[in-house]
Amino acid sequence: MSQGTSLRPARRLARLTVNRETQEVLVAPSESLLETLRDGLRLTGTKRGCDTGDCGACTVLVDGAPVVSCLALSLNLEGRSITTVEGLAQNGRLTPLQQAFIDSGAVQCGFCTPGMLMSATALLAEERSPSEAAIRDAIAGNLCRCTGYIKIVEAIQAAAHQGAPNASLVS
Amino acid sequence: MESAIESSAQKGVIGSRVGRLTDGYEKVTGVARYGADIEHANCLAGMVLRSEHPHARLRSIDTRRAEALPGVKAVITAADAPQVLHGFTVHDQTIIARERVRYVGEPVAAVAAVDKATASEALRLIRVEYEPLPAVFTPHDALRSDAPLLHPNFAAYESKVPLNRYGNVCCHAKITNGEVARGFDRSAVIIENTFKTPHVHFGYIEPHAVSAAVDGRGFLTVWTSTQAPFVARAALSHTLKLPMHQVRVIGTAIGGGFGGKVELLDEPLAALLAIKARRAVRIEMSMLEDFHVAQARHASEITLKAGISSDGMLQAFEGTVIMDTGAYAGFGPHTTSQAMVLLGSPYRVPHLRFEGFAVLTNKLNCGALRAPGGPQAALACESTIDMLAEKIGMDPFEVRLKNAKRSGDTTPTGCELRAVALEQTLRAAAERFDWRRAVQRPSNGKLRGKGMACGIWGGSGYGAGATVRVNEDGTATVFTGAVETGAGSTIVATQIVAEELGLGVEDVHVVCGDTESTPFDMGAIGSRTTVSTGQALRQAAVDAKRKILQEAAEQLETRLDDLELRGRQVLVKGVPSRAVPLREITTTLTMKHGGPVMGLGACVMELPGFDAATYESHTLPSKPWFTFGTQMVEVEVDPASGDVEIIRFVAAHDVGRAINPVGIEGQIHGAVTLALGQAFSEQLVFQQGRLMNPNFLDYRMPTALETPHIETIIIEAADEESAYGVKGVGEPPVPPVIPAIANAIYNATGARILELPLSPERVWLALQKVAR
Repeated sequence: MSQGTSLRPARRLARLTVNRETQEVLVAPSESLLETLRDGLRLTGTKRGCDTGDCGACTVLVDGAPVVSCLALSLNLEGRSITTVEGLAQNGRLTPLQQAFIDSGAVQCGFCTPGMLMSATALLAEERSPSEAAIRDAIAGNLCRCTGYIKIVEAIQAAAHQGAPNASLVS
Repeated sequence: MESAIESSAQKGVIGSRVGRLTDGYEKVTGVARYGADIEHANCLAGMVLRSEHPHARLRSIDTRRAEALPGVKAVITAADAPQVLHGFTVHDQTIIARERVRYVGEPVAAVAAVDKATASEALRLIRVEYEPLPAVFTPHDALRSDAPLLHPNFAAYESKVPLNRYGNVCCHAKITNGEVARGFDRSAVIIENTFKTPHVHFGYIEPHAVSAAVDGRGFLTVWTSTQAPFVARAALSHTLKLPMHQVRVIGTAIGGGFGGKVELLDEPLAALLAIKARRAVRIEMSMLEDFHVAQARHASEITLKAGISSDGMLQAFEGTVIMDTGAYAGFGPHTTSQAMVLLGSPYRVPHLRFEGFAVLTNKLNCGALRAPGGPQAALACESTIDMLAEKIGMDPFEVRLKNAKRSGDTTPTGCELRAVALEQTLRAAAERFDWRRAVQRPSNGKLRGKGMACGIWGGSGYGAGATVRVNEDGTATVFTGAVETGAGSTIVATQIVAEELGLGVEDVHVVCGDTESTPFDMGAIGSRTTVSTGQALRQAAVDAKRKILQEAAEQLETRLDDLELRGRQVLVKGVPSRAVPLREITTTLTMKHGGPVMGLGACVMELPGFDAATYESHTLPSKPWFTFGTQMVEVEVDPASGDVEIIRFVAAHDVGRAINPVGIEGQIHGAVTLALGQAFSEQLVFQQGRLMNPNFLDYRMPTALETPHIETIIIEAADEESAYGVKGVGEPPVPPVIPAIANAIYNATGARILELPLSPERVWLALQKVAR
């Protein structure tokens, strides 16, 4: 912030690797990864829903595993590989999963979509053709109020049929 | 419009399955900008101090220490706001509490500071002296003659509709058809039951977020995730006393609305802070705040007495509808009026009498949650139909078929029903579900049963404008005030314009939801967008087409009637060799002759006539269109736990004409799932006016683990009054869900449950009573 004093606690420079790029960013000790991504790095694709770990809208990947970024402390994540929704498409090319979400109508308001995509990306990296039960289990922590989850499940199934997503996302 | 140029809609783009063509790319890549994502230079963090008391007099507010805190740029209280009352029907509310607070969460003061931590500290430094007042928390308490009054003289407030108001009753409505005593005399069976439903949260995942800025002239711009930018502009203009041309509202991407992002919340506070600080201000609610202040579905209590003759004909309905509307009238008069109409609308009931009460209590304000009044009325009506059917030994399907409304029938307020397809949806659902098939009894000790329910829903009208600009290269840019809530309105807009101009959907771009650059539109409320905005869009496209074909007729020296637009070309019917690329005509029009191609469309869906002798103090005697649906469900009940699992769900809905079946399926899936949440688990729990479960851990919404497959059946019974015959579909699938499940639970177990939610605890307790 440019003017006036601030009551924010002393911050320190952290080296975070986000979407394959390592950046230095000022982080407060109590700052969540969600805050750092949205406010510090202006990566607003990751959504703040409940901020209490219940809705899953802020899900990102840390070393390939889905994590609710509102409950993760940024200073604990130095040296880890963080992937957000902005890091899925490469050189303007959508992953099969992203394309399937568009084609199937799995997106409505789209607010849960980034978190859904991250949970599903992690699943598809582990299982090439997951059962419907496994898909529902993988997105059980991502609330959606628009779709009844039906077309989201269909989209993940469609993407699974086309093979695994970009392997470089997950180590 | 010249009759020679009729709509060219055939089976082209309209009716084809289109994915998330318009908004999908930005939403799957994280580029879409929602309320909290809008960036401003030098933006301040706004925060709101909210009442901790359900009812109290505001003795004093001391903001001096907050103002003195370094980094604080503005503090506002009621003293900074114009003395203006506002409200959906009754003007009973201020944008920030003045003299009195009436619910926990009501805004008392707001601050803007350099960051959230400073703003939060400033809120802590504001001293508010409250004098607690006696409060009322239930309609029953509020209706007592000695009840404390929320508004000492409620009847003095201005109301857009004349309403009977007294005490804590903000609307006492009545509907009468025929003479109920005669109807009951003719009945072989008469039953009476009371149904109760709790407050339900909207459940969108994006908390409210708004930002505001003023320019050097004092003109205001507000970015908000609203369903209705023009409603927000009108309300901001009214409450801030600014002329409309000085207020610009830009609708951002919306993380779910469902009716909860229509009325003003923090928008005027952000505006006042921005005006006072002369800097951009953003207010992001926490989910905790959102639960407390961002409205809810009305809690209800409906008593319905009903009579049927032995041959299965309904004779009389007599009912009382009580809606708990919270601290201000809000949508209460509408929800109450609507529930009364819906209660008597699916079936022919010659004699009926309903009374409705919207009652003020010291709780959060209630709004228009997807089909407001619908599930409450349907639970009462459709449970009653099943109970009557059983008493006279008739299949509930037959009773519904016998009494179903047909085209030309009216609602209880005398509003004529067109293109009624209730019977079609009943038959289609029964065929798919195989209603006559006996339910298999599982061997695992669980109980299975089937249930059905029908529903009616009426859409909203109001104005819609649209502009279609055909660019020099023959592509089209469309301007509409209707925002994309996620329901797919921009996709439908693309299809309509592409269809009329003979373009592909990829040739059309939609600009939406900015009050400065798009034509007026009432917004995404009442399932109206495809119907009303669709009509305006078609008119605009046809208008643009006329201008193109007139120019082409001159160039080709042919008659207008002989020309058509197809495949990005102007074609002479029957003479394929004389085709001209569309871009040649549009380039000529733009650069040399005639002028750039602008098509204009405007629409207000007319309200059908109604019978003013049938009602009193009622806000919704007529709606521009109605539609019907039928749902059938098979459930499995675990008698050990009371847990209910859905085995099969079939939903048949009349959409008039399916423009994008992908979107319609998505709307039905979402509407049904939202209602499933209310059926099984969702309720806001209050203790002494304080919300006990304001988070997604304690307020349980359906996850992917609990939601069933939903089989959709799309019926197309075209409405001759609307473009392509369309009817809306966002809300209509909500009402039948809960009664279909309640009926299925009864069929499985013999337990008739009259109160929501149908939680395992409640189902288990009901099963114990049946066992005794």
